[in-house]
Amino acid sequence: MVSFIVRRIVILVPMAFTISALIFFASRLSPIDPINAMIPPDMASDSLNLAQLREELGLNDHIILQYFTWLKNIATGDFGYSLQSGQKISEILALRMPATLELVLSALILSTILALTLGLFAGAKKGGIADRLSRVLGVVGIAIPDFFIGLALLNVFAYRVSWLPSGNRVAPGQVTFWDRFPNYILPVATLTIAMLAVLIRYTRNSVLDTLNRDFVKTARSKGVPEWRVLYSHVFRNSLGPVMVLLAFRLPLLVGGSILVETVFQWPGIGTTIIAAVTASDYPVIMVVSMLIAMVILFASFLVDIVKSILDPRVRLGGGN
Amino acid sequence: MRKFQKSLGALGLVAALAVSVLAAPSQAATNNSITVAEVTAGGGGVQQIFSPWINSGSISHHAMFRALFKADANLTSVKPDLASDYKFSKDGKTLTVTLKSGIKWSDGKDVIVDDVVWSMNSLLRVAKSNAVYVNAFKQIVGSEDVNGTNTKTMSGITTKGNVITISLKAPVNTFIPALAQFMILPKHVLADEDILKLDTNSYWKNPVVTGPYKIGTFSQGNFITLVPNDKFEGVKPIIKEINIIVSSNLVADAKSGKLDYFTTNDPDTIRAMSSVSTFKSAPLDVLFYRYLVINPTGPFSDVKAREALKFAIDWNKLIPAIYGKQGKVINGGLVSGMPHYLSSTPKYKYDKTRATALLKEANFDFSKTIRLRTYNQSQPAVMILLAAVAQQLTEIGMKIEFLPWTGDATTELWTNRNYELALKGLSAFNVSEWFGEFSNMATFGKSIGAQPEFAALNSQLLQATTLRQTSKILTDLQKLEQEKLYKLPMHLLKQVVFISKNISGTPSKWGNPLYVYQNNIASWSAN
Repeated sequence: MVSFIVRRIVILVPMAFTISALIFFASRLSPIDPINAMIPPDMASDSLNLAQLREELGLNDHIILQYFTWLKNIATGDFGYSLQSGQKISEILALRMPATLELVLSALILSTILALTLGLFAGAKKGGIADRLSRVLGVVGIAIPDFFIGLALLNVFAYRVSWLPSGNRVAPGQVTFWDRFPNYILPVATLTIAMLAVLIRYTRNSVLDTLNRDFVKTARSKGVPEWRVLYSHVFRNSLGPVMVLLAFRLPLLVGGSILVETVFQWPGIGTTIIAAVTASDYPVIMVVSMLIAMVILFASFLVDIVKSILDPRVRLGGGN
Repeated sequence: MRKFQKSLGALGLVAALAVSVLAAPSQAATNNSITVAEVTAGGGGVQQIFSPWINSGSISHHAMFRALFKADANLTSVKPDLASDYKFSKDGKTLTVTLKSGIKWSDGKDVIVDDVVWSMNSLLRVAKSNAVYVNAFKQIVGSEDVNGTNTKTMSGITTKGNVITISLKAPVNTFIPALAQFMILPKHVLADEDILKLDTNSYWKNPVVTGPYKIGTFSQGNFITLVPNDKFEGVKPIIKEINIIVSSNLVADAKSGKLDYFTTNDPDTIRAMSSVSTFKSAPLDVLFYRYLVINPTGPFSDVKAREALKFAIDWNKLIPAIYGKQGKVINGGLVSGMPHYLSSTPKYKYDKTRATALLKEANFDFSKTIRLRTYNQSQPAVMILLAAVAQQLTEIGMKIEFLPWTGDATTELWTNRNYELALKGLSAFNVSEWFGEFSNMATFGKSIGAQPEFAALNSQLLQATTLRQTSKILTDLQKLEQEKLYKLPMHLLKQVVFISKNISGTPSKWGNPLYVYQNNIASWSAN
């Protein structure tokens, strides 16, 4: 197991370097001149001032030198500054990350609980109400994009009946968590519905698969109560593939949901990415992309570990 | 059964309670607070206050910052604000300004002449600032020595006591209106900061100010609350809190009472606001130009090919169809009804035969694809208008490729020039900005080379001191513009101020919301 983990880590390092190089050079090869993106010509007070700014931002250095300087800075925790707001990127992340985390984590927890419960009952009673409901939810959740669900919920609950706020995480005068609580409902509900669909289908299929296993039949033939069969034997054994799916959702914790955050003006990482892309704020784009890529790498590493625990054959063939 | 009814009743009560708790109450304006929507720097929610040296017209600028003078709603005549009075020498080259005494910054420090001098010098040392100030301040003696890396002070600005003397290289007719837009910043707070990057300095999150309001709460990404500045020497503000938010749906927020003031030029929002009975509106004629920049090096190298565009497109039908009364078709930088308008400027007339004949005279190459590019692709009205333009150009035989910019519009427009026709907008302080673009070496000068004829006239316009001189120069500029046709004016776009009917004390005449003027914000009150 240890050698398997070491092998996986060894593979991760060159991958991380490759990704960092791709992110850096892709941003530099774009037709966007950061200085022009920051300062339109009719806002440029003096060409000498622009030249000085270009120098200060290190844009006159050789591109290879710029890449290694960037890598070194990232490694030492210096993510640089946003071209748009001038703020430290580490400060931006520290401000925006909690907003994204609370949105995505809430949706992740809610969707997981709902999906596992519905999926278990759907699989256990094929053709029953839970099964039908889960199939409808599954199709609807997959077929309708999350931003559309968000817009529909906004239209009904914020604009038509005015029960809930139309966006923002904190409005003026909202001091306590309970003041802010209504702001969470629509974005969390949107993201939960969007996350629910695939997870329900996965859980249902996994439960159906487990129900056909010999150990379930044995448990039933031994007279074990059905609830215990479902919980202790079926549910637990169905969790493996579901955990893999959940692990792949970890990057959302960092990247946020760009569309849902945009629809609800949620000041998280998703809206930061949109604002950075719109303003060609490439230092922010690079750092956030790098961060998301690293979390994806870590998630796939976790998946490998989970898989290897569930199925030792993966460990044996892990080097291939 | 009775038990069931009781349970049902209890359930109903709980549901009603839950709904009432969760329901977002509309926050109608009160004397304690109003909410305004404005674009703030940084993107992605409320980030910080925009530097007023870049754009100065938002409510937060009106509320917090002050200049030496305060303009009227027309932005032409001014009254002293931080200054007590001013005087020009007879030759118009020396301006003497006396600073009021007893004015304090919000941190309690006195406003002194050093703040004014430092601000004026620093304007030439920042990387990003509004051309209105740059053009004016570059006329000060010694301005050429000041930039981000060089000397920090202009020799043409001197002080004695509370008096500031500004020596100009030549008379500048827009100098006082420009000074009325130029907000004075505190030297004691900013002198040691990196002035080059002033617009992104953390100062803008909690600026030290002189206006009737200052920042009370700054919730990054969420909102900013302005509260009365207790060091303000004037009339104490009536409204106790001004909340600044970024709204994704202005109409819905206005309808639900979550918003009390905003301005827009988006035709869809303006149309939708007509159904919001709790708001009043004030449409404003502002110099917001939209026009096509024509690349004169390709198929449109012959001026006749450029002229054909006046006749090939039915501007008089398209603009009203898309913008209604908000859009006004224009055929030059000066518009019919404005002083010094040259009435002989040919008006647009849809005539496909004439357009085709002009293109033929110009030996127009119809086999070449005409690349029509745009910014503002998120505005449906812009896309509809340009799609119609593309369609009408196709009807006279042109091959059109209509796409938004792929890179940043600035680089594409003035450096890369991978287009034949490109949409551009310009929010101008005055008409000289429209004509100034032709000789600006960062715009047209960069893309098609220096334009000495425009440069000479623009320089004369800046220095014109009599109406007669101004009229003569503007006439020449209008003629030259029509002769060269480097840009094809399309329309002006009105800006509309929307304000809740609950708010009173607002100015009887609103000014251009992109600039600062006397809008009596301290006297606004809300029922």
